[in-house]
Amino acid sequence: MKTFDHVLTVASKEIREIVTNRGLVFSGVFFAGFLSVMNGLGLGDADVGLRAQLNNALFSTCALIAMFVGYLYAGQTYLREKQTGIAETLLCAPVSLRSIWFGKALGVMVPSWIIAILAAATITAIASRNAGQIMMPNSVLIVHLLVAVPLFILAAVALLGFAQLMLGMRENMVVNMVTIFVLFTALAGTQLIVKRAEFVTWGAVGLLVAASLALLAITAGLSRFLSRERIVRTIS
Amino acid sequence: MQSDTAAVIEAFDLTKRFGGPAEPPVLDAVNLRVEQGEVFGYIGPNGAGKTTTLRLFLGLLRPSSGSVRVFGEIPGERDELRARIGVLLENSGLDDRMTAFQSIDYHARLYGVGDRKRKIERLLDFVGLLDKRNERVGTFSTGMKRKLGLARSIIHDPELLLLDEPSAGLDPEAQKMVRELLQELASARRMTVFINSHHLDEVERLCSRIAILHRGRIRACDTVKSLQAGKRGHVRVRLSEPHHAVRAAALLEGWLGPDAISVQGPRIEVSLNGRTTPELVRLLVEDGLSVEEVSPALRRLEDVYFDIVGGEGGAA
Ligand SMILES: Nc1ncnc2c1ncn2[C@@H]1O[C@H](COP(=O)(O)OP(=O)(O)O)[C@@H](O)[C@H]1O
Ligand SMILES: [Mg+2]
Repeated sequence: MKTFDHVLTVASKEIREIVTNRGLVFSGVFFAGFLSVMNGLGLGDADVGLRAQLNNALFSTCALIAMFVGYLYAGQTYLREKQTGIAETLLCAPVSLRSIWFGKALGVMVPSWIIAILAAATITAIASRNAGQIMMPNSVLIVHLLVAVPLFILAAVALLGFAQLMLGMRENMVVNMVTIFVLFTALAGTQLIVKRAEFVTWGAVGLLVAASLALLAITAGLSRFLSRERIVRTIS
Repeated sequence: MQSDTAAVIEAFDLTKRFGGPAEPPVLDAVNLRVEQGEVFGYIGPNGAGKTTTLRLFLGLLRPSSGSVRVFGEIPGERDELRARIGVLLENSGLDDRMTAFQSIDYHARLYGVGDRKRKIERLLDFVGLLDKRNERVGTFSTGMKRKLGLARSIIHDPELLLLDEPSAGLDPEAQKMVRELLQELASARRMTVFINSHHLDEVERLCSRIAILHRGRIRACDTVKSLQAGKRGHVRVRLSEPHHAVRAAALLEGWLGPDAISVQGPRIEVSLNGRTTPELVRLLVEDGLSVEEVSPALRRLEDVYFDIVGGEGGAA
């Protein structure tokens, strides 16, 4: 129960920090807005119908946009607090490292997920305008957006946060560059598959949920290597 | 060397290395015992190993060898031990984006403090920041941040308070305020306080006992008074008549050499150079001088400190 309280305390603090920070909200919304408008406008004009393209885009692009925003916020949540030395005082509190680590991941996930939903709405709105009729996402996509996407962001941010806590500043620069590279490659990759045959199925959603849970479990296992000494000694 | 009072902190040959075995350890076989209710000063120049020691007490670092116990426990093993300790580190650990109230509230929740609003407001009042409770920490001066950090460090009524350079970077007025706050905490709340500092003045006023750390080793550890008295072979002679001091000085100079004497008004500080106090008194009295008092010479803490750390004291 105590652990649960700690996780919620850390998470709610991080959520508040993000949503009350104009710069962070702006950059997240701007980035997601830009990508979703580009994606929405790019739909149509292909062998498969607009419906299938929209479903494909909502499935893949939204998860990636969310991850991009999550990446942006994770740096503010884990790395910034570590680099500025604020984290050291937090490490003196009677809170387990896992509660801190997971609470922060949860705190990053919530605003990133909200922005992902907004991105989905934007893409859908643009597609509806193109089609001249309102296009509602089907039940598979609703479950995807409400279950798989948040789990996916949570797992990705938890892994990134773990690395940021565990590694020194120079290694973290490498991690950041690799993350950005992977994200851009994946975004470019989705552009290629969005206009192919529809791949949004219950199976695909289930696969993403399973993969996210597995990643989360692996990172939770890895977090045993996290120690206060490790964090303190990699501050600078 | 067990005593009746309870030890809050005990270090046995506490050693910490950051590099390989070829490099000298940052902390080298430190032995220390801090008792309940003590205000203990830990002084030493920059790089002496003060912060490292504190991190070992907090379980933020593990000893390379030797051991440390806080309330009889190994730090870092149980989260509950941390709940009994309050900390103000060199970096106050405050987030510029949060308000004063939020900063304390966050920690209060993590420490499981009940009745938070009332307690936080009382503490903010105690450090003189109540009217600033809804302002962001980023707008605060260094002194205000330190006071806020101090308030935060005691929100859960810790039994032990660990402070790393609490008045570093503060102007004299803010230093005085922090010192008075600490004095109040130590006396009114009977907290055990451990202060890292290189402000000798502050330590001298606040602490009952001090340890002087230099290059990872404790060079002296005692009460302030005993450390000051530790100048063996030096006495202070006071004569009843001021003009006698001049004659006495001339006489002693002939006896012990000019370097052994320093005259301060009616008092003369004498380095005995192996001679004894009775010999000195006899010499003066036989010359018809009226000796009022002969006492061991007290040194200033600053002199004790600089004798130990040499030129690299860096005391401010
Ligand atoms: N994480 C670390 N890795 C390597 N060396 C360190 C680390 N932390 C401190 N040191 C070294 O240990 C010595 C003592 O540092 P510190 O305990 O901060 O001294 P003080 O607080 O007395 O100024 C310094 O020489 C410092 O460079
Ligand atoms: Mg220090």
